[in-house]
Amino acid sequence: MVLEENDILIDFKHVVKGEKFDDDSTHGLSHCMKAVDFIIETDTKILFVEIKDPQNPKAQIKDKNKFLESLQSGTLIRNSLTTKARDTFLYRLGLNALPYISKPIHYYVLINLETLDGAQLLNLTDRLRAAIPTIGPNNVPWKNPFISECAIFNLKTWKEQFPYFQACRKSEKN
Amino acid sequence: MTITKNGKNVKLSFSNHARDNVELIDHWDQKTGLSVYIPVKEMLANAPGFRSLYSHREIYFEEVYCDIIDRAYIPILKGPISEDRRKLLEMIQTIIQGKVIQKGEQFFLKNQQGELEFTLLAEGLRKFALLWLLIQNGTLLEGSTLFWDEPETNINPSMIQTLVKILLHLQAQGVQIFIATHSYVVLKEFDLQKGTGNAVRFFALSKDDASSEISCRTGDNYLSIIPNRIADAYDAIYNKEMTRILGE
Repeated sequence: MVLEENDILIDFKHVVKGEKFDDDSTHGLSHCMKAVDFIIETDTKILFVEIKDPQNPKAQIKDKNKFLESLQSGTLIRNSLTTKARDTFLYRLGLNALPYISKPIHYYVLINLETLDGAQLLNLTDRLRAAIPTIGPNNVPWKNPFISECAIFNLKTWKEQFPYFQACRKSEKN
Repeated sequence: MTITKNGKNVKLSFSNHARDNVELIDHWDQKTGLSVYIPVKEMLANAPGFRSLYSHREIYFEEVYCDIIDRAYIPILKGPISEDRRKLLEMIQTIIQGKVIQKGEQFFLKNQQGELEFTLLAEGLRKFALLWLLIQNGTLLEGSTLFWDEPETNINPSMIQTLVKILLHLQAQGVQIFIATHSYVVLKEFDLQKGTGNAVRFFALSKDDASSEISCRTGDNYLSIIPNRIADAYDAIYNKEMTRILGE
């Protein structure tokens, strides 16, 4: 199953199901709730997947700069990425989508920015984990299922970690 | 070792207890000033009595520890202070929240609260205080050379950006600086802060496991550090973390 978000294509092989979630025509509440780009169900997990592609050759300079500013200031993590995951969770919970209760939810963010190195990805991953937050109050795990793990990748590390979910640039493929 | 640059040669020799180990073979335009080596361990707090101890007893301290105390004891430089040096001193004073004074062989941090013994100060702050002394007494001036082994030691990572800023200012004023580091933060700060007025070179030394030979690669930016063992270590931690998160 190949899903695309602007210029990024990801081939989610061998999954139970998958969908492009951040789609104004089907979401229905995009005026008040944010959404992750894809929701994927594998045999063992639910994956919320968000794509950020500041290196998109077609990206406007001002949009790229705006993204970099949000990354630098921390608002990308604190506001954008966190809200997308929480709203997506609430939306699905409200619909009583049972797989989300029986399988752990992982939130993966692909930031296609090659200058992000291992140290920076680690730090961003920890900050996102704390902002969601994946652990409940007083450092005690949430009693009901919630987003249990987060991770941030660049394109290189995504490819290394997910050889079965190959990602590529659409404009380079054609 | 003879180094040639722009058709001029400088010869260096390395031996124990050498005093004059730099020979200028050709005419050298640059003023040559003092050189100073800042070791990993901070010594100002242990300075009282250390030089007599080192001179008269067999103790297992390297000579560099005595040398750095000698440099720190040099009195304040004569004459008016330049604007550049004044700014650097003020930058450090903001960090250490005071000025360094000396009574006998003992150093104190003087501020509004009084005079604080150096043994009561955090070791990282004492490193900044040492830098303050070396700038104030003219050890670090145009033409001088600073060798600093792992400047990141004992310093809060949030302070490293200021430390690098100070070092780049010194470099721009003509101080030749050599730094050995294992710190990602130090390397990245140099890479991110270096401007057109700075000359920064990165050297990656590595040992070949088979031949035991040391090789050196140089470059002008962080990404030219190859191999980069520090980045490798972070990548390894990232990979371990991903393995844990992905759980497969």
